Order: sequence, then structure tokens, then C-alpha cells
Amino acid sequence: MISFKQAHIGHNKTLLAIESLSLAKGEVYILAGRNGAGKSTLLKTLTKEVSLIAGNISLNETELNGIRPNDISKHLAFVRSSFPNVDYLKVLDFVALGRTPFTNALGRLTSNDLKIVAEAIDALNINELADKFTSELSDGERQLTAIARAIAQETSIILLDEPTAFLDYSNKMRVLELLKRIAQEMNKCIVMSSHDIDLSIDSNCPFLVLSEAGIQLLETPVSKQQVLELAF
Amino acid sequence: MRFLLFAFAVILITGCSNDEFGDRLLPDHDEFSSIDSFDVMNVEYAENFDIRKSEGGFTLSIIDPNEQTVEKEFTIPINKPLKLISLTSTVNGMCSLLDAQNAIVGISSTDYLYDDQLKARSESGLIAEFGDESNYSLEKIIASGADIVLYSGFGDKFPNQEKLEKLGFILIPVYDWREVHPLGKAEWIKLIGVLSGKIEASKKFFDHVVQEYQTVQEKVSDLNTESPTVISGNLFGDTWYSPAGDSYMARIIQDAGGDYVYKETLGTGSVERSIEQILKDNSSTEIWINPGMSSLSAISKVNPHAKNLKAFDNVYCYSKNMNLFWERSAAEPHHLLTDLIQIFHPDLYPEKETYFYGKVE
Amino acid sequence: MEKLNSLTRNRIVLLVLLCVLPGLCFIHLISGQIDISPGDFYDAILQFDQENVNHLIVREIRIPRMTMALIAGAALSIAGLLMQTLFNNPLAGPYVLGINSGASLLVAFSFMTGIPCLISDMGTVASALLGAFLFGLIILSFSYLVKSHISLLLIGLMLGSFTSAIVYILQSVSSAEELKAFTMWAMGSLQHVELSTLPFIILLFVIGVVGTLFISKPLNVLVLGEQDAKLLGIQLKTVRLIIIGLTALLTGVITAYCGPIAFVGLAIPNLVRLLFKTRDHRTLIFASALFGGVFLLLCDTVIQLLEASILIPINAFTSLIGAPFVVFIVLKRLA
Repeated sequence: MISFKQAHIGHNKTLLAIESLSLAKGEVYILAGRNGAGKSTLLKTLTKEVSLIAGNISLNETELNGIRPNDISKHLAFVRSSFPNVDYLKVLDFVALGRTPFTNALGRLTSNDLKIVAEAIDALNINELADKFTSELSDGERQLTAIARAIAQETSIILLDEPTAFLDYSNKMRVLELLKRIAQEMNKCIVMSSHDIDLSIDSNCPFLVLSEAGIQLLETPVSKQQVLELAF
Repeated sequence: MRFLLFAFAVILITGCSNDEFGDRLLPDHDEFSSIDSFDVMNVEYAENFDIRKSEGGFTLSIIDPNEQTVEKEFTIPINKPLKLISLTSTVNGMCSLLDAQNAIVGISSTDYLYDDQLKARSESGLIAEFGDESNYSLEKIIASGADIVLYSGFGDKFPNQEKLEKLGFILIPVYDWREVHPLGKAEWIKLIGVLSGKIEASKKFFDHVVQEYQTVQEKVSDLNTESPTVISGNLFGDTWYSPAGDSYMARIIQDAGGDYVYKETLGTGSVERSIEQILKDNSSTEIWINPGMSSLSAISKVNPHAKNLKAFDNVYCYSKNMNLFWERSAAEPHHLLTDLIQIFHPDLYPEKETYFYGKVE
Repeated sequence: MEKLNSLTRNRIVLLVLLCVLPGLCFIHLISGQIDISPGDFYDAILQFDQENVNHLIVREIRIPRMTMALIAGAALSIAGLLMQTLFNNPLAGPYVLGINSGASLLVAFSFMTGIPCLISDMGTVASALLGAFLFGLIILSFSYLVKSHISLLLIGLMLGSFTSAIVYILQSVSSAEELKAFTMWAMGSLQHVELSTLPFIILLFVIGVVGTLFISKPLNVLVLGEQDAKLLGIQLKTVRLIIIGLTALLTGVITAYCGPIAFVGLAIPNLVRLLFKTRDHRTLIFASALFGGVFLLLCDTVIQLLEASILIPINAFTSLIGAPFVVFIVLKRLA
């Protein structure tokens, strides 16, 4: 659960002020808005890559400012739009990196860790990819793999930056449906930024629309006109 | 790098020498008017140059040491003072021994000067610095107005040779370092004599050196004591370079009554040995000369295994005054020979001080 | 099932290499310019006779040389692996990034000062370590400014050229003996180490390897990129400094005693990844160390077996093999 109180967000100067907002578990929030409206900045403020200018944000009732950078991993997982371009990294090992915050100093995976990794892979239905190298995957498969890693991290919050950007239509749908199912079944609060407004509307998710006026939460059902009017 | 290797080779091939008699020949100025007043300039020991009388002067031939063919030939007029640029210490030394310092207008670097008069002339600006053979200042040489450039000839050609020759410079490689006979090396003073107008003095000086060398050598051949075993050289990289059996240094060691470990090897250059072979061949060798370093700690730094040589307690180098050695050892091989005799047979000259060599501590 | 296979295969490869290692060491020990009987080897170790030259050669040359080949190969390969992971760049290595140059520069300074304690062995080691560390920090700070892999490599190469120029100038103002000592050092050699120095070098090497094994977790996470590694709880600043420190330690100690050796650090980790197809650093560290050690040992054995009195410098030999391999890696990545 994420809540904002008079939060001023931006790189040094306020780009976005959020009076009061609360995001609940079990939902996938679609973060929409023009380029430059502050979607990435908002996400990076939550990961502490960009510092909060003023006000309060709390993750699961813990104030963001009070969370040490190394402990952010216990609260949220972040899926970037880019996927690491490295050789010889197996999907299984990649997903297992999600367990990093829980393993010992030498990074040894316990049987419990392995079980959680297997479940994450299972949840995304990518068992047949487990032994492939990530460099051999298609864009869609990479996105699923990245989400599996976020799930293995077992956080209540998952942030995704444009997870559907480079996917074809069927993969976009698949990712969205999966995220919705995960949010509901695993009771997670998921926030994803997206330009695919039509698609997101079809999936019946609440919207967070960024504009000069600030942030507006649109509960379902959302109409396309509403989003366009607010954002553009 | 190539220059360093060559410089190193020279260190190994050359030796040292000295005359402590103080009766150094002070040659008279050769005020000559006619070439006929001189005998034929015989070259007896040296193999890499020749001098002949010719119309209006002397013809000098430089023999390529590798090919044994004439590499260059020039005619030097006898009545015209020539300006010399000397990029090799040997020439500086020979000029100063002939009292012909005035002939030199340029040198490599004042750092390597020994002779006081050369130093003084350099300080007063009469002698300029041009840098070493591999890296000299072309423009400065062209502007110098010199007639002749003398150099060691480490490389195939003098850099920019064609350019300078087109401009009228005479370029002479001084292959004294390639001479096999110690007196052949010394005989190059005759060539310097011709170039500096000190022909008679150079002949006299050389005759004196021959006489001294032979006298000293006879002292050793009369000895009945056993010759000490001797190793020369040092490691460079992973290879130990030592003078080959037919080289100048090998010869002078033998002449001084030393038993040179690699005397049986062929060639006039150097022989290469790995450190393993050196340790094996020299487990009982008594004396080590020319390590190229003036302290035992410096030797250990470049060659940590040196202390496993028995001769590590008995190391000698021409380190008394390096510049003296570079300038004079070629022209004065009798000093070098005497030094080595003193090292190999200390009883022969109990009171005498060495000229070039010192014990490395 | 397939996963088990690849894991098993990797273990078998490592095990086989470990088993043939003593044999390779033995072949290296008996190769040299003079013949030494196995009996002499036995005696040299158990009944050393100071007066016996063969014993001396075994103890002071053959054994240190073999050990240094193994350690240098292993240390440089691990250093290369560290650089490649830190900069997420398969063409990184202590040599191309100029870490060696840093060591060379400070060693040159220490030689030219003429201060005895700096010219001593310990002085050389300290200078090499410090130089390697400083240049590691320099290249690290440049890595924040440039995004492209190639740019960072170019900066590393420029750093190398720049220091070569300074070293060249230093050489031209130094005395003949300082110059010679430095030139000899820069030519590099595996056989300059004495038996009595070996324990010290082994100690530093072990510290480097154990230290690297201890950071295998952050190294594994770094493949995700620095930002994601941070979000997974890795203390990035500390980890970076530790990586630079370990690289400097491993590179510095080898450079101090053997001179600069090129390409081992760049080529071996690539070879290991190609063969083992893994990103798990526990495997990569072991395999790089083992392959690096064996590679340098083989190179040196060939040099010894050529039966020449002029021994080819080890640095020339590794470049002869390493440079084409690196070109192969580049082509393979472009393909």
C-alpha cells in the first residue's frame, strides 16, 4: 500500500505535487500522462533514486524517508523498461536474483528460496524458459522473466516502467492480465506506467493520470475520453 | 628500446683501460703545409677503416663491419680545419688526447663529458648539444655549419642520412666498438688525427699505446700463477649477454691473464645465456666483471639470482668514473689491460691504483 | 535435467583440469635450459645442498617460476573478471583500462627518486599497489561520465598512452642505472622472484582470491546493472571500492614482481564464460583462476621448451595468443 501526503516530487524543483493519495493492494494502477509529466520521476521517487522534495510518502505505513536505501528492496520491486543485455545468464538464475535481499553474505540460496523462485516462474507460466539464457528470449518473454524476478522478491509493491512498450498486442494483453491476476491473487499493489491507454482501459484497471494540474485517480470503469482530457 | 639494447651491447663488448704514468703524450700541433711531409698512414690493427694518401689530402674508407666491404669513402683536405660534431664519447676522448678539442663544435650531451677543456668549451657555448644518435636535433645540425658528423653506427643508417649528405655533411660511423683487437679499437685515433689535423700526434700516440700494451701484456705472460676464472656481462630481460669468445672483451680478459668462461664460444659480438645456464656454468667462477651496475644492491634489483653466483663477492666494474671510461677506454686499452691484470693478479701491482675499474660493493 | 547436466559438465571440466594440473606443473618444472634429473628435484626439496647448482636452480628458479606462472595467471584473470563485471563490459581488463599503467607509473617514480626504501622490493610492491588503486579510482570516476563501453576502453587506452609518455620523460631525465633497472622491470619476467619472497606473494594472492569470493554475491547481482543492484540491497559504493581495491591488489602485486603482462586478464574470463556458460561468480572466479594459471603455465612451458638461450618475454607470448583471441571475442559479439 502506498500513500502520499502533500508530496512534492521532481528533480530539485517540484514537478508534481500530490495532496493526498492512497493506492491499495490488489489493484494494478495504470500511470498515464504526457512525456515529461513525471511518470518516471514518480516511480524513481518511490525507489529513492530521486529524493522527495517535501511532504510524506509511506510504503506499507513506513515512511519512505525512514527507509534506508538498502532496505527499499524489502518494500518494493521495480521492473525497468530495459532488460540487462548479458550473455550466459539463465532465466532461472535471473529470477533467483530476486532473492538477493534474503540470502546470506555469500548469496547461497536455501531450499525455501528455490521454492519461491520456482513458484514465481510457475506463476508466470514460463517453466519451459527456465533453462534458457535471457539473451535468447523474445521481448515478451523477457518482460515475463523480469516480472517473475519482481515476484520472487516477495514485496507487497511492484512498480513497472512501461512494461508493455515493446510488445505486440497479444503479449501486451498477456502481461496486463497476468499483472491483474498477480495483484489480486497475491494481494499486491502494482503501479505500471504505460502509453497503451486503449489496452489499459480494456483491462479495466484504475488510472493515475498525471498532468499540470497534478495527479488524478480515476476509478474503474475509466473512459478513454476522461483520460485524454486530463492528460493531454 | 632498440637504442637501449645497442647501448647495452656496447657496454658488454667494450672494456676498460688506463695509463697511470701521467706522461700522457701531449701532441704538438701539426702545422703541415704539404702532404709529402708524412709517411704513409699505415693501419695495422683496425679492420673497419683505412687511410690512404690522395690528391690534396687523405682518403678515408669506412669498412662495414658486417659485410667487410667499403661502406663509405671521403677525401679529407689537409689544410682546412674541419668542424666536427661528435655523437660518440670515443671521439671526444680521442680529440682530447690529441689536444684537438677545438675541432669539436657539437656533442650529444654534456652529461657524458669527462675532459675539462671540453666541459669548459661547452659552458662557454663553443660546443653545442645535439642529442643522441637515435634522437638528435636535425635542424640544429643543419644550422650548425659543421663539416662532419661522427656517430657510433648502432643502426643500419644514420637517421636522415640522405638529407644531411645532400646538404654536404660528411657522416662517419665510428666502428671502434666493432673492432676485435684492443689495439684496433685504439687505432681509430689515427682517423680522428686526420679529421682534426693532428696526424703526426695521433701516430705518435698510437705507437706509444702499442708499446705500453705489449709491455704490460708481457708481464702477464711471464706469470706462472694460475689464471682466475672470469665471467662478464649481466641479465637483460631473461637473457644474460656475455662477450663472445672472439670479441674484444674476451681477448682483453685473456691478455690480462684471466680465464674467461665463454672463451671457446664463436663470434665477435655477444653470446646469450639463460640464468639457469649462467648459474650452471659459473658455479665456481671467481671473478665477475662489467655487470653494468655500480652497486651490489642495484645488481640484485635487476638480477635477484646474482647472489647465488660465487663471484658475487668479487664484482668489478669501470665505475670509478663512467665518463672517463667512455671517453678514454677505446684509445687507451693499456690502461684497461692494466686494470684487469690488477684485478686478476693483485700481487703484480701491489701499490698501484686502478684507472677505470672499481670493486662493486 | 538439462540444468543438472550443465552444472555437472562444468564441475567435470574443473575437476579434470585440477587433476592434470600437477602433471602440467611437473612438465614445467623439468623444462629449462639445463637438464635436471628427477632425483635432483627430490633432493633439492628434501635434502637441499647449498653447493649443488642443480639444487639451487630447482629451488631458486624452477619452483618460483612455476609458482609465479600459476599465481600471475590466476590473479590477472580474476582481476579481469572483476573489471568486466564492474563495468559490465566483456572487453575490460586491468591492462586495457590502464590499471597496469598506474602501477608502472608509480614504480617508475619510485625507481627514479633514488630513495633506497622506495627502490627496495617492498617499495616497488607498495608503489605498484598504490598506482593500480589510484588508476582504478580514475577509471571508475570516468565510468560515471561515459555511457558507452567503447568510450571507457578508449579512455583506458589513453590513460595508458599518457602514462607511457610520462614514464618516457622520466626515463630521459634519469640516470643510466635507474633507467636500466626500470627498463628491466618493465620488460617483465616470471623468474625474478626468489623462493624466500614466495610466501609473501602467495599471502597477498590468497587475500585477493578470498576477498573476491566473499563479494561473489554482489558481483552476481551487478549483472543487472548498478541501479537494480542497488534496489536489491547491494551497497554499491562500498562494493565498487572493494572491487577496485581487490583488482589493484591482484594486479599490483603481479605487476610489481613480474612486470606488466597483457591480455591474460582480458582473454581468460571471456574464455571461461564461453566454456562454462554461466554468470555465477563462484564458478567464474574458480574457473578464471584455474584457467588463467594453466594458461600462463603452458605459455611459459612453451617458452622453456623452445630451448633458446634468448627467452621470449612472457608478455610478448601472452599478447601473441591473447590478442587474436580478443579479436575473436569482438567478432563473435558482432555476429
